[in-house]
Amino acid sequence: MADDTSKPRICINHVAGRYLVYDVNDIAYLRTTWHMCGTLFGTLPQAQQQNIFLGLPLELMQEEARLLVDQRVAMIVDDSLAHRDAIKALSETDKADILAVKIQEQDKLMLANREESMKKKEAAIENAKASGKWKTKPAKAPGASTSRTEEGSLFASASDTIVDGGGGEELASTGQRTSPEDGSRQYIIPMASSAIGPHHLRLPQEPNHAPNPPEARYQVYKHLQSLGYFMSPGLRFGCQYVAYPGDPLRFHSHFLVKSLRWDEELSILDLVGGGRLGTGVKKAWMISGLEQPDKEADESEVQDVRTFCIEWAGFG
Amino acid sequence: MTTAGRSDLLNLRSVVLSNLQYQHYWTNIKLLDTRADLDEKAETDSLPRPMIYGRPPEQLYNPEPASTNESSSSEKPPADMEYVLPVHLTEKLTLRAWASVFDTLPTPSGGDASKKRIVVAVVSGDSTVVYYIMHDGIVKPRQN
Repeated sequence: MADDTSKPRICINHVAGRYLVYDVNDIAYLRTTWHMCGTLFGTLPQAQQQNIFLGLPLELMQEEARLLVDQRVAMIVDDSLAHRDAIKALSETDKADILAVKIQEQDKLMLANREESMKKKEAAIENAKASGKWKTKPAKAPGASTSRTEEGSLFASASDTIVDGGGGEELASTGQRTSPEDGSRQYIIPMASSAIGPHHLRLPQEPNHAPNPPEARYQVYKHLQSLGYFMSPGLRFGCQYVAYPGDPLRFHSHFLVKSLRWDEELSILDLVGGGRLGTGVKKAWMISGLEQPDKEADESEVQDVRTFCIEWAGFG
Repeated sequence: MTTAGRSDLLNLRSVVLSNLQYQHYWTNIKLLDTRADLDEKAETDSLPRPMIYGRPPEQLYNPEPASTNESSSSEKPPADMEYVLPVHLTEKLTLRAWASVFDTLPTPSGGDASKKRIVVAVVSGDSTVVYYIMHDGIVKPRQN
């Protein structure tokens, strides 16, 4: 699973105490191979007024970041330091090179976009003519177009603005624009800045920060993760993790997990509350912790994570 | 290991006992105080906490939802015997305490140690008793 040599390590950006992943491919890899879904929390540029659907970046739990670092799958990048170093290390010729590559890329993209939009526009006009709804009115204003041509003209007008140099709306999801002083050209900066043009971002080799979740939580997380469970943050159910037996898109969760140290006291009232809550949402409430054989026992003994599942008995 | 003394636990058990007998119609009730009560060959060390062993009127925990084809034809088999652990609402137990309770229980007839379960009887100050099923290990919830 963890292939140290062939696959470069995933960068987990450490920003203000949070662990963020910015690369879509990394996110897919983490989900399929490591059973980590994380939480997307970036606002979608095309739908800023809602927070039901969110996009990059993906936030990982501390435990997930720690596991990935321990397994040598990922490394932690201190975001502000990495940016400072990268900008300092960039020479004037580097900048010119990057700019040249960018211009080339964008010219290509613009040409392709223009051709596509022309095609779409023509097709839309043909369509409208065929259905007899064409009234010699140009399809520039999307609001005026009929439902049949709506899709085509929508695309057409969006890419038109690129040609005019005013917009680039459909690219906004992957990048943001910046204007040089003359204002004639805009550049798209990709969100995943692992490589800027031909230049690889110079990353510190030995990060001085490692995620350090509470030990009890981490051991429980690791145990359930190794059994194939998908864990997500438990705020919505008043617990530490919600454990899914498979990908959350395919399964309901089974357990509301609370981790405890072996000698941490748990109030019976918490057990009653957890049991009721779990049963009320067709789940079981799970308490779990790393077993410590005996208070005076030597550390060499193998320690296991022990779990107990609680449900309402159905009477009383 | 617990905040309550032995006599408190015995009083607690008597509350749960009468609740099981007269409110929930449990039968074949046996009180468990020592390891010898669980296994005749074992020594007479006392259990971590006094417990109750008995048969509920209906099967308490059914991992598979009731199969419709069998229920009508044949008579239902008697419900499984259950181990009941009385606790008081104001107590605080550690994972170590829960584990010690499970570790003294015999492995169920299926032979799978992970299938051990107890019924936790929680007694509150007004003598209301509520019951929770606790499994040792990861056991899929009933309704999922």
